[in-house]
Amino acid sequence: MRLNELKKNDDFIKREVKYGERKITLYYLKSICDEEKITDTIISPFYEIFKMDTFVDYIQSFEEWAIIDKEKVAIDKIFGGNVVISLEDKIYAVKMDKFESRSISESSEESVLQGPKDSLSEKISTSLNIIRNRYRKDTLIVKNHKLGQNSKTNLIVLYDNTLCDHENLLYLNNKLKNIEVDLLQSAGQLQKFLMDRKWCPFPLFLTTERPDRVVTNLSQGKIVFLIEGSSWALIGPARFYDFFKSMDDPVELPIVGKFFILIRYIAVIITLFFPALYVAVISYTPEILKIQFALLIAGSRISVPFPSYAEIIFMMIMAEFLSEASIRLPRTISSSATTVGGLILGQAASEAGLIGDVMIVVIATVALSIFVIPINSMHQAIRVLRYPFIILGSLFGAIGVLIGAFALLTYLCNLRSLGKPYMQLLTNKTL
Amino acid sequence: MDIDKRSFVTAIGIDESDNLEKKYKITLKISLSKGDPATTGAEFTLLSFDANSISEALKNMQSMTDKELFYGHTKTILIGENVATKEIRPIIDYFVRKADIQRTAYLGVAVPNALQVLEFKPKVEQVAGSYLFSMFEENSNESPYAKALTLFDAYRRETESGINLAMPIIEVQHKKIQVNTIALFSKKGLESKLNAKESELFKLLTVGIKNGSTIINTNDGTYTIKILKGKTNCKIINADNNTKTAFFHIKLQTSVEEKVDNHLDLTYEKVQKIQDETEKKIKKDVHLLLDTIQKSKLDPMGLGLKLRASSLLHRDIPDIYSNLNFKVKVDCRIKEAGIVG
Repeated sequence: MRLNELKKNDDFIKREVKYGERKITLYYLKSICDEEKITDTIISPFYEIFKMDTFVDYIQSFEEWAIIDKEKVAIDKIFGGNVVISLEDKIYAVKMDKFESRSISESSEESVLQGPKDSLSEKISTSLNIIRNRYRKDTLIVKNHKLGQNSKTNLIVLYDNTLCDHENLLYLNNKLKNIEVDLLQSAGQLQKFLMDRKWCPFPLFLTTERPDRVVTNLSQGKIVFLIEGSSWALIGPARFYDFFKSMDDPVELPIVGKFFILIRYIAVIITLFFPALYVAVISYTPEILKIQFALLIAGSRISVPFPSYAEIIFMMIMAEFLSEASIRLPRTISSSATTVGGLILGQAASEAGLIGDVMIVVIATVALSIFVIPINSMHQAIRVLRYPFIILGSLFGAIGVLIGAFALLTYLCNLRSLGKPYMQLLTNKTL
Repeated sequence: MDIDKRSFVTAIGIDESDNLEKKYKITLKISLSKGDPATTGAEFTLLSFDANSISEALKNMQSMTDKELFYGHTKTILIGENVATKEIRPIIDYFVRKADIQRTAYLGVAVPNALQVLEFKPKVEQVAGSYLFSMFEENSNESPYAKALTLFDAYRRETESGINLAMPIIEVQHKKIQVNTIALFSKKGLESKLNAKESELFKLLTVGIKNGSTIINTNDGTYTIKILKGKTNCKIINADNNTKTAFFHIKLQTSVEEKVDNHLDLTYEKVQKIQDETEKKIKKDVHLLLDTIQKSKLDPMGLGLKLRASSLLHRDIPDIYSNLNFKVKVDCRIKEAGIVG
């Protein structure tokens, strides 16, 4: 691309500034450069400094500047938010970028009761500012990277030099170098490139928008990625139980905090196994129920024409529609949609004889307990994994569910996040 | 097979067949539930079939229903008195072999026959047949008389040497069901029955009782003593090589429940006297019971098994039970006498 072609863009500016014999030409894109700053720091000084040499010295005092010798470099610099200044004999580039983003807002995806409420920003320097201010230690290292053929996204790698594993760093640097991607826009996208397994449903890196979680993990020797344009940080290596920590836990008193952690694990077990065990017990082993309850279920299913697995898959998918729809809908409608969907669908389906009454309780429990998991990516993984268990339960009964659970556990134990065991439990807190 | 495609058999009854060519008359109590939690599901239907073996009868009854007969919730097995006196072993053996019947099912002797007990319909019942097994369940009924016998226990008692079956008797009397007596079995079949009083003592000697009672006569008057909690420890003591003694140590916590024929205030001395009289009376009764049981050559408490278990040469032990001596010690403590101090 030549400089002339840039002129096709209407936001491309070429400004000639003259003072007597002295003359400079500025080239920049006004959409990504701060024009006020250009006027204040380049054009006004130009009229105040009478000697050209002094002006060159002045330009070299900027934080980010470069001498440009090739046209291609000049174009790259222009797209990176620089002003290219052509002096009599030399061409300089000075960073004058402007990055529009929203101001620091409240964390919406990982709400807490008592913890801090702010979230990371799309603007990488703001995020870094928040983090640095919470972790004032001289060993915190910040490294810049650029990723993406087209987007040229800025990426910051953060780590505590004394705590983090340097093998991990080397491994990551290699990985980052080999990533080939056109557009990099989010933390989750980066995670996919860093993971070795393509079909692993479990997130091997934490994604968070909470600066306090980032800092906690930094102090545990983990490596943090901040991505320009995304308010989510990526943290690795992660372990299974990291996904069940809420940032409220350190705020709570020990017994209360531990109780809520326990509740979350119970919720996961219920969501994963409850629907599968329901099918297994109903179709294969009703003897484990209390007889009153067994007869109650049998009676409530008399009008249902479908086998129990069809019944539960039908209702699970309905519940899935509901939660998907409530994400997509505008906030004002979504609450009424879920109420209408949840109430009418459940009540009407059982009255129409499509499902048993007990089934509504099962579905409601399952749908509710899934939202207890604090980290979104883990919650989605668990949500997907329920279906294989239902299939196992309906084909092989409780034994099938048990074997499935065992297989899942072995799979989890086999997973590695940046070479660290995913299920590394009961060990020291730092890595 | 989904849960709604099964019919729940809650109780099985085994009687002697009226047909002379057939051995058994098997009756199944099948629960009909409507699935409405507001109403109780006590509706049931009975299926009967005469056959020479239990499995043949069950197979034939399967062809009488559209749903699969499901025995996973069969909690009660009733054996008619006539069948019980003849031969008990094949029946217990069959139910232990039948994998889908839980081995925690309760066994009972039905008097006059199983069909009449199964036909009984109580006024309020959660599930058809639950009346029968909740009579035995510890947490729903603390009757001092009935001692529940589970299927696995019955099989153990039937096959092990040195112990015999003792089964509660479920009796239909004047359109009421009563369970307050115990039937004693030899290895072959029913031999004798204990009356209500003896059954209570028998339960005290084996598993302990709650809420029992006894009437005491002292020279001051007659009192009804409530046994709040009674427990027995049994030990076998070797006096010398030939005579062995079974030592029963009975501990009772009691209260004075009723003063039958006087209005005098109880004093400490009187309470002491009542206490001594209770100990004496229980001791006498227990001795009497132990002797009657010993004379009938039945060992429902498993004293023979206890003897064998304590000796390495248990195979060579001759029948020691019949010349076993008994020693009984009763510790009675009146916890609540209705007086202050």
